Amino acid sequence: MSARALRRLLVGYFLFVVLAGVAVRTWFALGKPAREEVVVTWWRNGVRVARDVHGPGEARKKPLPDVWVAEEAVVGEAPLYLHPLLFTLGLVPGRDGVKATLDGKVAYATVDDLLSVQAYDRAHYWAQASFGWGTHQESVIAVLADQLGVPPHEVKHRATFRRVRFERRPFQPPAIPTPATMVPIKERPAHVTEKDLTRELVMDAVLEAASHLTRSVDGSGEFRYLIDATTNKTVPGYNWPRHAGTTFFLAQAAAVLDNPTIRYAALRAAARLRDHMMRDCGAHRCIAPDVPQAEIGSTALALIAFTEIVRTGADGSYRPAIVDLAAFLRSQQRPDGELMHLYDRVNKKPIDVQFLYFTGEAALALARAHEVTGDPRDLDAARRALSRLSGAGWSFFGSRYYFSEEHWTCQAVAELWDRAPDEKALEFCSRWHEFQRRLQLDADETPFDADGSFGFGPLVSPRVTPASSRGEAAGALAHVLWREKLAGRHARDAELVLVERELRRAIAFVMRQQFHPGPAYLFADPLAVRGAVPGSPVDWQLRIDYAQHAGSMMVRWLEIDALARGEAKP
Amino acid sequence: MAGDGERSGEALPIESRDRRARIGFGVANVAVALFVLFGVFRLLPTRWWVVDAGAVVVASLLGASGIALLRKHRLAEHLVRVAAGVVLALGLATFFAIVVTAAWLSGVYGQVGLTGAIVFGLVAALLLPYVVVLPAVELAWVGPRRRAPAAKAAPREDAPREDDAPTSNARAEDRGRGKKKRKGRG
Repeated sequence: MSARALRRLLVGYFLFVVLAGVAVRTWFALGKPAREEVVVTWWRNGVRVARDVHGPGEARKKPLPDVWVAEEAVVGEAPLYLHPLLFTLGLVPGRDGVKATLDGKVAYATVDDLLSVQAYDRAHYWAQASFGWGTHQESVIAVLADQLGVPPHEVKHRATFRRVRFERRPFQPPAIPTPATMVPIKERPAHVTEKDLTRELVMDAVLEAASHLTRSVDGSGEFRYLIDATTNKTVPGYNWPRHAGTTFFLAQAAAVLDNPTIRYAALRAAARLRDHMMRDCGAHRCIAPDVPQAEIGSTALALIAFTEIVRTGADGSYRPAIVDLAAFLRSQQRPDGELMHLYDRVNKKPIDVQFLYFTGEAALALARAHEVTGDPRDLDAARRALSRLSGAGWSFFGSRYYFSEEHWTCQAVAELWDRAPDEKALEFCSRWHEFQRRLQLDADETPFDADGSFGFGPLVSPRVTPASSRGEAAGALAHVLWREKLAGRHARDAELVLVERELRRAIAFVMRQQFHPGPAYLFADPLAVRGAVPGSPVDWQLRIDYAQHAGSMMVRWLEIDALARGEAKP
Repeated sequence: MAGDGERSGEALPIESRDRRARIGFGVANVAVALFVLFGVFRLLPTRWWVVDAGAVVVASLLGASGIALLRKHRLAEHLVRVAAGVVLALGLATFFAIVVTAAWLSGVYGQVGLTGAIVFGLVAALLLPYVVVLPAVELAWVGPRRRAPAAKAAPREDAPREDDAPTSNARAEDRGRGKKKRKGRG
């Protein structure tokens, strides 16, 4: 082929590509709906009991007195195909539903329908069950088949489909008195933004999150670890580090709110750790199930919880446990400051492996333990662990452009700042936040309500817990920067503005996701999940650490707010 | 880049071309072949015959043409033309698929913002140099297939040609005599 022919071919090709791109975009973009319809659904205990689709000006059916009424208006339509390549990412989670036509009969799988069967972000999973993506086709077909009165395979093979954009409208609660167990909800702005944050608003969010967790603690001190919000069923499985972390938040909330019910729940959960989970780990005591290997994460987070219980005056009897657990963590530390994350309880020796989070948790735990024990060995161990985390532990080609999860590290920096300030660790935390702020999504970057979240990209619905944990870390950094400012050192005042905004945006995003009460008509037991924080706007599995990280972030903001107002000492 | 041969409708024999270009394209083809093999068979987490087979074909063609160029093999020109053509076709098809996918996502999701543009731009920037630009330049360099075995074209005067390289006529004569001259490198 001559160069001239090649040039012509390439020019023609690129013109064709541009035209094809425009054509494909136009074909799949939302258009005006064929008919402006409103889908009215009656819900009882999270189950759809009836549906009425009507056009503008058409008469509506009168609802039964004991049902919740939800309206979803059709505002756009586009082609939809069932081929997995086109279907999996063919619906925008939480905004798009499906219209199916079969033998002249029309059925809708609305956003509410798909949320109630948790069809969004369930087609495939990344690494673990909490990171799903794509709409689960079989669930959608099942919803449509139910309404069309035919088997799912018939819908799949004979029906025609359209993608439908819905606008969800405020729902109407039943026309019968609210049960006495449903305490009134405090009013919030319809769309909380960073500008709306007030002490009262954040205190209410902390109260709601802590109350949800309090309701989840049983008599033995164990949480309902993972709840499916739509059915209110407990999903099997448990995690002791997260139990300990959640106990920490309950202790924080009890102190901030001075709430005896929450405090009692915190103490039940803490007692479960101290009285049933503390076991021999060689010469020391650690938190572990009765298995041959113990990990240090449970011990570190239990230590953080116990120190909060002692610090806030909830129960001083946890001091001996603090001394024991701190000694175990110190025994797991290597000379270079790194911690060995496992302990072989049979052969009574540490196992030198490292996992995500644990060294940061241990650094924070030892720093907090020192405040209670006054033992200089705890302070030194915390200082060395932090130095390792922010120094040699994260030093390689490219380490300035790639980061791990460092929310515990930043909290350790703040905890140690008055007793053993580490400028290098502060710089490390500062760089981490600079990186995170680049990842923080703006309102116009995705089709989701994602402003303030930290996304994996524009096509994945934003996860809530990454926003909470980064918010916790931003709060820790802001706390240090405020102390510097109040001490008359103003070198980082400009950064403080950025970090505070990062935190406020994260809080606003998390508050918008909190079930307050959320779409209560889609829940089997709205009270059981009220105040909970879901995995994402469409993933309604409720794990205890989702509310814990969200709550701890908000408590930190309250501390900073008090500091800024001059109501708390630096 | 194809030189006078292009204007006369015939390409220069590989031996008569710019030595630096020949070696440069040879090294590039071998490097891209190795990169494709490493990327597909070491970096991809699972196996899929479509990608695996495609990688083997592309790596084989590029590797063979690269080695042939470096060794001034008589099949070098033909191999370069085939390899570059196949890779260019695959590259254009892949780029088309990426553009159409991006257009589809943009249609469905409406706004994908700066992040979406960065991801698309990054993929395109990583892909285009190897599977579109390189084979297109090589095709232009190697020029159209010669119509007759007896090439009349002379090397460009301004090109640092490999002076000791035999002309096609000389090679044809050599073959005719059943001799094979071994020439030192310029």
